[in-house]
Amino acid sequence: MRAVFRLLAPTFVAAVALVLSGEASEAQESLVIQPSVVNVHMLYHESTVHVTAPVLADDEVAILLVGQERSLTLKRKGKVLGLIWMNVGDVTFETVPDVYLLRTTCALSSLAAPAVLTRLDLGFDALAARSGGGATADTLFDELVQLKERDGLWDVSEDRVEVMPAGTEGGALATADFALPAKVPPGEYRVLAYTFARGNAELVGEGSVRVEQGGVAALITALAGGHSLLYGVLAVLIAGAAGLLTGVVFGRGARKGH
Amino acid sequence: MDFSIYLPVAGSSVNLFLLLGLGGLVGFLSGLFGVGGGFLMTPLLIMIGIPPTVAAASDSNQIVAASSSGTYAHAQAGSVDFKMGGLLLVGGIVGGSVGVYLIRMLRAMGNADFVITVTYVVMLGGIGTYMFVESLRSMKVSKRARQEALRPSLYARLVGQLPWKIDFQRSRVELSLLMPLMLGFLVGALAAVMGVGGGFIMVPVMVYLLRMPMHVVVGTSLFQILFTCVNVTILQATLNRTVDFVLALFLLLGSVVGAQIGALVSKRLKADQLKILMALIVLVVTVKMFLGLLLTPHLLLSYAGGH
Repeated sequence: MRAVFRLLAPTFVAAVALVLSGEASEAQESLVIQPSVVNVHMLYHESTVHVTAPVLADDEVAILLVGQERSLTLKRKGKVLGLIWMNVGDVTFETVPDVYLLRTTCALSSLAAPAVLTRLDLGFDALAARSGGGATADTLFDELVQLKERDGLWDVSEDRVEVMPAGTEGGALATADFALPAKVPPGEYRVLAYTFARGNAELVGEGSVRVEQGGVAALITALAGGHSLLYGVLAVLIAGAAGLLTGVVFGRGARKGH
Repeated sequence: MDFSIYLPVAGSSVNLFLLLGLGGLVGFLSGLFGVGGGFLMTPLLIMIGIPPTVAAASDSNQIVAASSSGTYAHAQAGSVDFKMGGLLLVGGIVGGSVGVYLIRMLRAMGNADFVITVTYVVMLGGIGTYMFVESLRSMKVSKRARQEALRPSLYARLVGQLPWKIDFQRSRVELSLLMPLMLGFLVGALAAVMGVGGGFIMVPVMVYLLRMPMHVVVGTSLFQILFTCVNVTILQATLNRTVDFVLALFLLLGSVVGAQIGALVSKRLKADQLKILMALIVLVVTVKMFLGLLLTPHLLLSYAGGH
């Protein structure tokens, strides 16, 4: 961590100076995301994306990695005949991100007022406020959070942003790590860094990270999606051949054994 | 070192040895009892984080390997009745189509899940209990009593009245061709409603309703399952794009070996021992399902699809 900090510090001292001088557009280019492209290959399990943002040493910080917003339909369980639990219908959340990973320096409630957090989409309460889908969806939003947390796709971790002084004039670097599990779908993810001082929020950095399949994984996905009949026939032929081959090998072994 | 493998269609990664182990276990049961093992494998895959739709479709793909391996082993031993299997398959395909239509109708009416769940528990519980009790009784009774029991029952007399009789030499039975066609239709329809291959229904049907010897039942059931799963895999790949070949590949590497070991063990066990073992497994799955229905679930939401 410290080695990365030493390596990046000189670059960010200049960036911090730009932020302080009110150059907002320049500041938004100052976020460093490593790696900016995550390659999902056949041995992929999880990858860590390291984000560094220029801040002031006294700031509280929130860094968000967020995916595309989509409509999500899930099965809802309920009690039938007052006795058995089973799927009793569908529930749709109209606008929820497929991935939502938030890191902060302190408790969300200490960062800013609820209205500010809602406006910036920070925290599960903010997501719940605009997820849509009606009363049933509203009452089941906590269940959605648990389902997404189980898959590692949604996570809010407080006290997980590290702020270290950099240069002079109170400048600092805020760093956070984001673990991207294999369940994160390929696509473009936005990374946003906010600072909070005396209840006011400021966007100090914005960038993106791209998750893409590579090598054999990409080939299989392309074949399954673009040539589905060929893919299905090949899958059957390979499975059948593997089965027969094992049958022949074991058959010979069995005959030799007698 | 991390032995995870990425599954591109499922969009998740799983431990390599876990997949090989699951494949081996279910393949062993497949070779031993002549079932595809879908009723065990799909819930296990969902449990380790595979999306339900991908779990069901990829399981069909791996069953192609296990059942072709098992069919080959049983055919070499002369324990596949191709004539009976072919007729059951024709009936099963028609029944499966009717079942798919039925489930679409039930979904439109909004009570498909209830019908599927009740069918699952009733079929599994009924078949498991019947096989268990019958096998226990069969192991206890003397040879003489067994011969007395072979006197034609009302069911046997009714079946004997049906026209177009065929001699199924491998199965050592003479039956109307309507019997395998009708029973194949019934199993096909039930399997489609429940979303499974139907091996665990087909095996008891062959034993108790078609009166086939247990060792011919296992091989013939695998032969029929092979063609059912070829059809399902191609349909799932083209219509739903939910077949993950990487997942299927590692499962099948385990299952083809498991199926061969299962087939070897199957030959060393007596018919009653095989039946009672299968009955126990079916009953364990039933109890697990039943508890799943009664106990409050950990989460009230789940992803769509699966069994």
